[in-house]
Amino acid sequence: MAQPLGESAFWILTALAAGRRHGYAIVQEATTASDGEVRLKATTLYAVLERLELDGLVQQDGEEVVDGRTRRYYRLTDDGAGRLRADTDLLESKVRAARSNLAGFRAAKGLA
Amino acid sequence: MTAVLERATDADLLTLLERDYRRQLRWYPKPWRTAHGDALIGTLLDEADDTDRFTMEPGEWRHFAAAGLEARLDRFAPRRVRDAAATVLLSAGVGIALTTFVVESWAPWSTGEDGRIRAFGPFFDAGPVLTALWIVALLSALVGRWSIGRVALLVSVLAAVLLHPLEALLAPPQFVSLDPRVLTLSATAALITVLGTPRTRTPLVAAAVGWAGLAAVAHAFELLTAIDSTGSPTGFLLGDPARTSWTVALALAVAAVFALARFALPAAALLLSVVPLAAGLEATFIAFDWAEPIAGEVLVALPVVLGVIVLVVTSHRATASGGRVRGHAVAPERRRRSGRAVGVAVPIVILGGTAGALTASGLDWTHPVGMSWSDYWRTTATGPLPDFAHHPDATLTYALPHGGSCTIRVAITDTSSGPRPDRAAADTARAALAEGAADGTLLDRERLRAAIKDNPSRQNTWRNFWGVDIRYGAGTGNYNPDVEYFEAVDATLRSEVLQSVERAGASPEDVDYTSVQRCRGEQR
Repeated sequence: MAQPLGESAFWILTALAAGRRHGYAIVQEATTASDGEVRLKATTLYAVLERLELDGLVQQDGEEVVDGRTRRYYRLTDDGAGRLRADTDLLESKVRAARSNLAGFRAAKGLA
Repeated sequence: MTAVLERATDADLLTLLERDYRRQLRWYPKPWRTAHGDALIGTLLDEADDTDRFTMEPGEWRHFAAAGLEARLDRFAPRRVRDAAATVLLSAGVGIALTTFVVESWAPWSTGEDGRIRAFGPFFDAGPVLTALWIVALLSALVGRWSIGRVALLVSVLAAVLLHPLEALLAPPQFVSLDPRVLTLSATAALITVLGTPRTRTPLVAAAVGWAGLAAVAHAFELLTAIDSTGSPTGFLLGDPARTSWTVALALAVAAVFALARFALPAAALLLSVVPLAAGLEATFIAFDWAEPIAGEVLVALPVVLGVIVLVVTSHRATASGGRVRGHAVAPERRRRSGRAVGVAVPIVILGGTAGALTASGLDWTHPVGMSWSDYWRTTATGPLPDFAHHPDATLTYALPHGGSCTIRVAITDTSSGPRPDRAAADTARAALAEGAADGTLLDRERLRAAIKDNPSRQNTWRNFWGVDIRYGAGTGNYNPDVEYFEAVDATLRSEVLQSVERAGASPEDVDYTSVQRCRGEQR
């Protein structure tokens, strides 16, 4: 099994799962999706995007120039979606296990 | 100035900001700037716009520095290769440091008979410092505080670099530094480990124990094969340059097979992991044979180092174009190119490594052309002890100017042919020796210095392997303070003994002074 996605990579893939986005839109989407927990730095964003692109998890999807500024769009690949799903499934099974045991813990406390 | 700022439009200010950001891009390598520079600037300006900011945030340059330098590092070895090499080298570093500590620095079974002195507390040398730093690094990695581990390893590099100069500066009475080859091995391994983040999901501790065992086996092998002038193993792990060269060549060949099988990551990681061994090998040449006109180190190290660089770079491409990540689309043209590059690199590495190892084996390391201090010491302070040295009349241990230590064993033989009373000469000599050894006056440092000073132009010749007599000593261009001191000790002892015989009214011709010296850590 591959190494789990890092924190930044997880949120970038999550942001792109909502649709193709340019750099700053990814940053904003990651912040929104994480309820303000994550604030990606632009330098980190492009370092991680480059790695994700080499791994085939994201793809560049056109550029446009607005007010003399380059906006490069990225989109999730099928592999990227698969990878995000696998990671999410893993997280979900962890959450399920913890919740179920915590429920048991509360019940036991209640009985005592 | 304020007025200008007030009149400047937002667009003007953003242009200024863009200029600042573009300046920061210089941290990145050029290909990265070309590929992502504009997109990064665009994102940064979008963000500044969105937050009504017209200047860089304080300290923001640090993000550029960190990311840019990492991008530069990625060009040499991508992150996953560095991480894999860091994993290998952290476990290897700890394992080898542990074994070195036990068998070299501590050696609880050693009674110091070979002339070594416990100069660093209960230890022979400063090895425990390095071992402790490696262990701190391993523990930091295991508990997820790798930044502490990085600092520990950088400190160990600093210690390795500073040990020798510090020792020269402080001139402690004994030799506490480690073998320069071991120091090079440790420092190089630490530097490469610092560049990555070890994977703690691999069984690091078990690997470290494995490495320690391997090093112990190597040490036992060394005990059986390479013996120095004191009869103890020499240059732990790196004692035999030819064998080390073969090890490096073998590792390169294995890496090449990995690369051919398209396991680019293990290939590149293995190559990076071999670098410390190659560096230790290089240190062997520099530390012990650098006066040698045949540049053996160039012959051996060049193909090895070239091979490593070529293969790391090409494997980088192979890794970059997918490595072992399954199933995603990789541009076929790109894959072909990296395949070609590996195809070119593999023969170079195999040929280079083998040629290097062959050269190393073929060269007669023991017999360089010019003056070789290693050869000098080998011929003057090596080999099994002669019979008399097992029952010497005196055994004295002293420190050389550069910190090494020597033991001189002296025997007095009665050569008088006359009747019993003539033996007085030998008895006097023995008594003088015993007395001088007991109160330490025989090898008084000041006295020796004076003896050297009285005769500053003392020059000698040494016949090298090729039968050429080489002049050495002060003023010849072949000057070695340890050799000067070493010879002065013998000469001073001899003259003291003979003078005492003369003072007692006996004939110096009736005694024979015989001595043998064994040294360790001498300047070569």
